Amino acid sequence: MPQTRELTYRERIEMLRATKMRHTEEKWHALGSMDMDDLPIMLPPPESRKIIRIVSGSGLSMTDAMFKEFIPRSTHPSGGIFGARACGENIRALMDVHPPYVDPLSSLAGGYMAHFLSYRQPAWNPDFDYSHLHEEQNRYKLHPGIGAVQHFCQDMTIGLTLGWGGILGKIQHYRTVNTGEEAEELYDGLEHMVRGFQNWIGRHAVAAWEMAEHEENPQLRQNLLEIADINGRLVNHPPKTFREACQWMLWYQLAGKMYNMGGSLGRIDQFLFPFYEQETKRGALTDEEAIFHLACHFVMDTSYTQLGGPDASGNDTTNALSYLVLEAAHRLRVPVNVGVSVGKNVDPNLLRRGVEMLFEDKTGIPKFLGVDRTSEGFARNGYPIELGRQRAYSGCHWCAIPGREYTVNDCVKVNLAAVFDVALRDMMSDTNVEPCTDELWHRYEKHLRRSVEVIAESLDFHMDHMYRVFPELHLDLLCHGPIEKGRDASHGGVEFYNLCVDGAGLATVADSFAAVEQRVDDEKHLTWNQLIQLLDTNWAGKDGERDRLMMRSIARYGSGGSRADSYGLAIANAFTRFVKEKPTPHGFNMIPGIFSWAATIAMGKDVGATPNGRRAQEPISHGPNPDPGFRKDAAPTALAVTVASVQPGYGNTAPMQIELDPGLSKNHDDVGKVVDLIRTHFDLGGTQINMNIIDKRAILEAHQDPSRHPDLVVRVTGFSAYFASLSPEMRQIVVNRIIAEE
Amino acid sequence: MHDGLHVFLRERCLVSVTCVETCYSQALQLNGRLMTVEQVLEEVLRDRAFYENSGGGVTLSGGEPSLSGDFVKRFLEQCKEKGLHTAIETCGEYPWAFLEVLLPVTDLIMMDLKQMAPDKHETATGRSNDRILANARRLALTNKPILFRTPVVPTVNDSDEEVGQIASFVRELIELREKNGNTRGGTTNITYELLTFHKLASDKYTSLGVKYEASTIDPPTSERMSELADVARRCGIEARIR
Repeated sequence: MPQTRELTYRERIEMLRATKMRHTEEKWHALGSMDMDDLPIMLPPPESRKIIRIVSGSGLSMTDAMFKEFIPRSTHPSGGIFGARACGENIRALMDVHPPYVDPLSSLAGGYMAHFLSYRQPAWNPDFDYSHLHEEQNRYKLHPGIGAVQHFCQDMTIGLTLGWGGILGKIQHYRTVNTGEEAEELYDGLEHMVRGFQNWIGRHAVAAWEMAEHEENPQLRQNLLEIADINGRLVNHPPKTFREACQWMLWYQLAGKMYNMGGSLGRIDQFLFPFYEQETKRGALTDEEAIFHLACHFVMDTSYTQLGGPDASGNDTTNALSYLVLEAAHRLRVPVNVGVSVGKNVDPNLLRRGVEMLFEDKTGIPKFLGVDRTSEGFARNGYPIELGRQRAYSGCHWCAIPGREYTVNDCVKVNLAAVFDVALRDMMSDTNVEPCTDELWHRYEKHLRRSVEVIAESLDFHMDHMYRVFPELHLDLLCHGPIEKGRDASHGGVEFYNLCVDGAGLATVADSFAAVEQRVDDEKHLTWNQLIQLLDTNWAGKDGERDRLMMRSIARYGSGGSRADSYGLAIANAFTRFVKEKPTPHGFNMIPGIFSWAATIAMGKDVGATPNGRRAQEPISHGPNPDPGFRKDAAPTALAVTVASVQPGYGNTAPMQIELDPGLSKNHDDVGKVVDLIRTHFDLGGTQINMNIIDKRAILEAHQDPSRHPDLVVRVTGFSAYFASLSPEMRQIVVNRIIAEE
Repeated sequence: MHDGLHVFLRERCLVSVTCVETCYSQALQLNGRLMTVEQVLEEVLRDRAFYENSGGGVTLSGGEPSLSGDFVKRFLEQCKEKGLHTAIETCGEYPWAFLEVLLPVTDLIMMDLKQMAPDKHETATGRSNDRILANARRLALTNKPILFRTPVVPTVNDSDEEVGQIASFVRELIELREKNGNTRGGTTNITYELLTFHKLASDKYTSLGVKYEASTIDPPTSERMSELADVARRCGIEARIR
């Protein structure tokens, strides 16, 4: 790039954003739609690219690209890559062949082009057979979490303190302390991974230095030389400056994405603050520079991060960096997953600035975290509340204690609608009972309890074997315990085990119960047998559509004071009770939440027609939300009251998804109203809010033709994403929510 | 039914609701339903936490709440017993006694002043403004907080002169309250707002089968609203634009 004048940081951010858009559009063409987080992966060059279908780190099927020339080395007859040593060797080999990526406009080097998951086929080691669980897992259409990866949070301060050289030294020290077979294999795997990191980083230093030699623009040449210098040091040494810390963090995050699609970042405004404070105090760093470095990170890593919130004693930790992170996301306008803490002692200006951003950017960023409710809830598991306050928001709807807690968050789902279908069929096949809603509820409770038990047995199986299938090498490096004990985080390496179990499809089931009670039991518009026939035929027949609309037109969950609302509460309570009544057979604590994530589509495909008027295979309802159109006035307060009322209350969340009137303007009053809505939802017991203030016209246009608005970002669920990157089905879910708000 | 099709004759409707109950597709919907005071209160209290956090409360809006005097009074009494802030939106076109009975249980009166010239007011609304202005004066003689509001509708009342006349009237009422010593905490508690015309009601007219007379009127620009606020300011009144 020739020199004309010095580029400003803002201009460089715009150019980095444009580059990301170009990469993203290339991915749309090559890979198609993607109903998940905006993975900042770049495509390998066309000549070395191969397209495949895989199962993502969150358990959803997706299309991916891989280097066709890279052949991993399997040590198993199935061709799979299992265990710490094999996984470590192969991720190191993948990093070794991975081409360096340096953008002269960015202050940070690095980008990734491959998911190790895509090479690990089969994903599960067939030696560990769980066919004994298949029948019931399939019966209830469970997402049991066997083979689930990442979805807990590292303690970034470990890495920022030790650097790769320090981590390697720590591994080598503990090799001499823990000498069993499990420990030896883990240390081999971890060491491979660290050496892979070091080589990867070192090659970027060389690449940056070579690029600098050919760069004509002195500003960018200087930048490249700095990148070369920084990365040369970071091969072994811990970061010393704010920029170096951002660079170190980016390497760690990119490798996590590459290894198992990890996406937790945690409390970035806390672990980066010492670097920021130290440098700004001596005048070596301006806020504009800090924002730029953060933007350079977020353009390559959109991982989940929490701003503000209490320390262990309950004192607010919001600081100047919290605002700079928001500002970086604001300037960048890419799908960064930033969560703003809202609580009794939390700086209220952070919330206000977050809401202003929603109005200004219309990207659904940030989201809002009810930190008081989640930490109090966590304490109900028998932990001190101080621990609850340390849990950091670091995933779609979840939080975890950085470096100390293993969770399988967001990977384990009970499909409440599928369980309803089992209960209904069970009742109808019993010739000894007269079908009625009371009997159906009785059966529903029985099957819901059993489905949770099957989940618990599945989780035990996962915990028994995962370390020998696909250990958490990447997260192990920055956790307290795995290296010290020689045990993977999934196998006793960390201190706390609180396994997430989410219910999904609450409104579908609540409305179904209310519809059968009203239309079948009370009004007798249909017999039970007629209902079953309608469900079996997907509402076919002369009056099928009429009957479907009849079942649908009851007072729905969310309307307030309706029977469906009562059922919603009863289902949430029953689910919570069953998850909490006992730990898994091996003694692991489980924590209930209500969240379906993008799996609302996949789980819907598993379920036939339901009595709430839902057609077969349509998506089940989203998280704890009522279905769109739940109330004629779509009152946000009614939604907020409803979602707050069904919270399981043990520290995991049941997030409210809300779309607000695009007619609202960003005046003082409207911002204040949204602030009050957020605060009150959390006061009522709510735990997390995903909110869109949407440019409705743009969304509807993009739904018709995604290419018209390629850079339109929406909060889809716990994650935000480019609207154009979503599947037509997922786009329809977002559009339905918006239309229902009219 | 006519030739197998359902035909809705609004003028013959007895509100039996049978058609709505039969129409599961919700092509026909009943707007509004009969409720007791207790049922309304129950619905309102569901959102109590929002009122408390936002400094808000209950506002009874149109139709004209003062025409449902007994129900409204009993409802507002119960709201006050529950500690809720209460407000009514009113057009002011009724005997003073209708409003007087609600004053003890109402914390804020929001009253429209659409036009000062009686003939123009009658042309625009179908009624003269004599009683409205008289009721506004009587209200000013109390110490009840009042928010006067002018919905600014282009071609109807959006001239400098028309808004100036309304603002001057509000100024007069403020002075009247001051003169009578009905201030609280050193303030008259009389405020004024200019409301920007919008067309959000057009769908409602369509669904009721009523012609929407304002369909050709465009909302005033924000610049024009600011100019009108300046007009009010020159008349000695701070006007908030909404």
